[in-house]
Formats: sequence, structure tokens, C-alpha cells
Amino acid sequence: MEGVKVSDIMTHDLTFVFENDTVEQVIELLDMTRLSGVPVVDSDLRVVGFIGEDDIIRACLPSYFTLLQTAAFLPDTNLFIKNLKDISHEPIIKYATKSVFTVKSSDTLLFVADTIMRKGYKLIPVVDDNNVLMGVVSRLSILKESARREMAVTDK
Amino acid sequence: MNVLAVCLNPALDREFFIDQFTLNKLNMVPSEKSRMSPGGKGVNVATILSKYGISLIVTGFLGGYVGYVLISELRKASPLISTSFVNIRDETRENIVITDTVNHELTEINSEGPFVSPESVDIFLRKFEVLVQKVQTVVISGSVPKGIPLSFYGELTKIAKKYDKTVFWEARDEIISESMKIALPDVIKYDMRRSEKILGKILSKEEEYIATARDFVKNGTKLVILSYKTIHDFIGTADGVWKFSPKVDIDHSFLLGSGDNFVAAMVLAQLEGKCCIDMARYGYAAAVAKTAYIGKEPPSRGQIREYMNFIISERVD
Repeated sequence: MEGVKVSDIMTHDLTFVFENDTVEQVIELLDMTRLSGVPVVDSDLRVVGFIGEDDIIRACLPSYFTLLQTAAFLPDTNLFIKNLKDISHEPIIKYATKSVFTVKSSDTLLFVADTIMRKGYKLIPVVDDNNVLMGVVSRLSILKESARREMAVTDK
Repeated sequence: MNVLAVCLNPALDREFFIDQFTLNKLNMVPSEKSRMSPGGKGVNVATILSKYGISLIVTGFLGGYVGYVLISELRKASPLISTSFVNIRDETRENIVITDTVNHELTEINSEGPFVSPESVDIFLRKFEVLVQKVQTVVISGSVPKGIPLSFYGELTKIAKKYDKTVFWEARDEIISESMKIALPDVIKYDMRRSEKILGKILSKEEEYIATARDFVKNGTKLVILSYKTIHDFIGTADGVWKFSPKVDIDHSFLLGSGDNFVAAMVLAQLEGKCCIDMARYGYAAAVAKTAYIGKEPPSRGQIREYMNFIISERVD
């Protein structure tokens, strides 16, 4: 995979949400696009956060849940539903990951694959030198490219 | 990015090549004689521009399974195309074209398209204002889906003009007439496939076309293209009015897509520094070149240059 750049595998898609979009709007978008998360951008298309299904779920659970790591201590699912309803009109930036891991189109595929393995990211925003969103790179696109490369070697 | 292509009502194009196409009969199509590709006028213009090496963003409304297939196909078309659609609940439309090269007939079945909610329109407008600042030129082309006002081209142009962008429109009369009340683009090309109306009137005489082209320019449009008897065009600019005609015979069954090639070639010419009548000549040559063969592939720059010799541009005013 040496020599393969992010530009070779990235998806040139600018699906994003703004900082002040509501939690409800983001859930609707994730449902319609079948994405697990999307970049959050400012009015200059600069990436300022990333919001995933995990972030929204975490926001609906009591704070002690993170420490206990089990749903056994939840009183009932009504609490989760109530919390989701309570935050549904809140701006998404409140729940987004602010220190977003981004890559440049010139970064190597190996670097991205390594980060995905270590950090467990599913989707990484691709940005330019001004942090403006250019697209995304997904786990699947890395797998597809790797499979293609392996086949090219086998063919020799 | 050079261009923001707006396709409010994209479509999945299905093309069938059926010689001796007959109604009330089973028409069999071998798989190599049918194609599926992303379509809708704005998407077509974007795809053509990407073939000329222009990087661009395509935006509009997309929904459902058909929308998913469309965007997947569009991503495969070129890495120069970035997609940024607003997702909607309704299903994106399909356009079916049946080409009969034996009888020289073209049959089109276009579905009307989805309904777009006011919430989606609001999301689109906010998105448009951010994206428009990243490009030089905006092309708005094609129909508007249900839920979108006919004046929407004007609303988008008003935003684009706030950032001093060059704006192209290709649309039918109702959209142009209503949108002009809000803002004027730099270039208007009339889409007269469904209606012969221009500003609410059916024009018949050449003098009427000339006067109307002159009026558009007087009102502030830099370049207007009015289609006349399908294969001719009247072109209005601040320098006068021209009539364009082909020097070659045009097969009407090969006309599909020529309008999109006209617009794309004009945008290409504008990005390369051409203006007004030269831009229109380049667009018309591309459209005539496109009628020489079947298929969606645009003519090469070389073919367009060659076809500049196969068009007549006659000054009429």
C-alpha cells in the first residue's frame, strides 16, 4: 500500500452539518444517508467537529454510565428516550467531538489505516491546508483499495 | 473548485436503444442496448465539465433508493466531481429515453420528481451560501421539484451575486419569468423542449425573437440564448443579436443532451476567459458536434474547434 495517497481512495462528498443544526436534524440526516457520522463545519466550510451515532447515544446516557460501561445500571429505557427528547433541539456542536482527527489528500493510506486501527474511527474528514472540508475517507474505501492492490500483486 | 452546479431535481437516466420501437407491443432490449447514468440537467452539465478537467461541486436534493444509486454512479464518474446534496425523504425521479435510430425518433418519459419540504429548502439555502463562496461560477439548470417555488433560481442568484459570482441559467419559461423578478443571472439559455413560450408568449416570427433577445439584454442579462425551430438559436448580447444555424444536417434522434453540452461548453469558455458572443459560439459548436453521434459522452475540445467551422453565425441586429 506504499505510495497510495488519501486522494486515491477518498470520497469527494461534502455531506456535513453546521454547528447550530439540531440533534434531531442530525439523526434525520444519518438515517437518510446511512452514514455513522458526519463532519461539523463552520460558515467557511472549515471542520470544527465530528458527530457520530456514538456521541448522540453517549449524550443520552447518565454521566455515570461512562464509568460503569454497562447498561445494567440504567433504571429503564424511558430515561434514554426522555434524555434524547430533551436534547433533540439542542445545537449539535454541544455533543460533537471537537478535537477532530483529519487527514490531507496528500497523506499516505498507510498512515490513515494505522490511525483507523488504533483509534477505531469509521470515517475521517479530508481537509485542505485551511482545514476546509474536501471529502471523507472510510474504512471500507481502505479495504476496497487494499483488496484491489493485493489482486494486482497476485496477478503478476 | 471552479463551479457549483445546481441540480434541484436530479434524475436517474435510463436509456434504451430500440430500433422499430412500437407502442402496444413487447419491445425487447439486449443489455448492451440499455444504460443507466446520473442525470438531470445540472448533473449532466457537471459530468460534462468534469470531462474537460473542471473541478466542481454538484448540489441539489436527493432521496431514497434511486437517489442512493444516482450518487454512487456520480461518484464513479470523476474524482473532479464533489457531491453535496441535501437529503430528502421522497424518492428521486427516473427519466426514461427510448431512442429509435431506424425511424429517427426519440421518446422520453420523465417522472415529475419528489416533494421537497420547507425544512429541506432551508437547509439547502444555508448550504448553498457556504458552497457558493468556494467557486467562481454557478450553473443552475433544469426543473424544480414540487415544494420549490418557481422563483428559486432568482433566490439562489441573489445569494451568488452577493459574492460576485458569474451565474448561468438553463430553464423553462415559467422558472425564468418568476426568477427574473428576484435577480438576473449573467447568462440565460431557454429550455424550450416542453414549451415554446418566452416570457409568457409564443413567438413565431424571427423579428419577435430578435426583439425579445434585445429586451433581455436591455434588462441586464449579458447573454441570452433563445432556441428557434429546435436547431437554430437567437443570441442576444450588449453588442447586438445573432442567429446561429448549423451548416450540417442534424439528426433529430441525436439531439438528446445537446442543450447540456451547449451550457457546459459556455461555462468552459467563460472559465477560459471568453465572453459573450464567443462564449455562445463555442457552446453552439459543442451542441452541434454532440448531434453527430449517440451517447452521453461530450465532444472533445478538438471536435468543438472543428465544429466551429460547421456553424453559421449571422448578425441580425
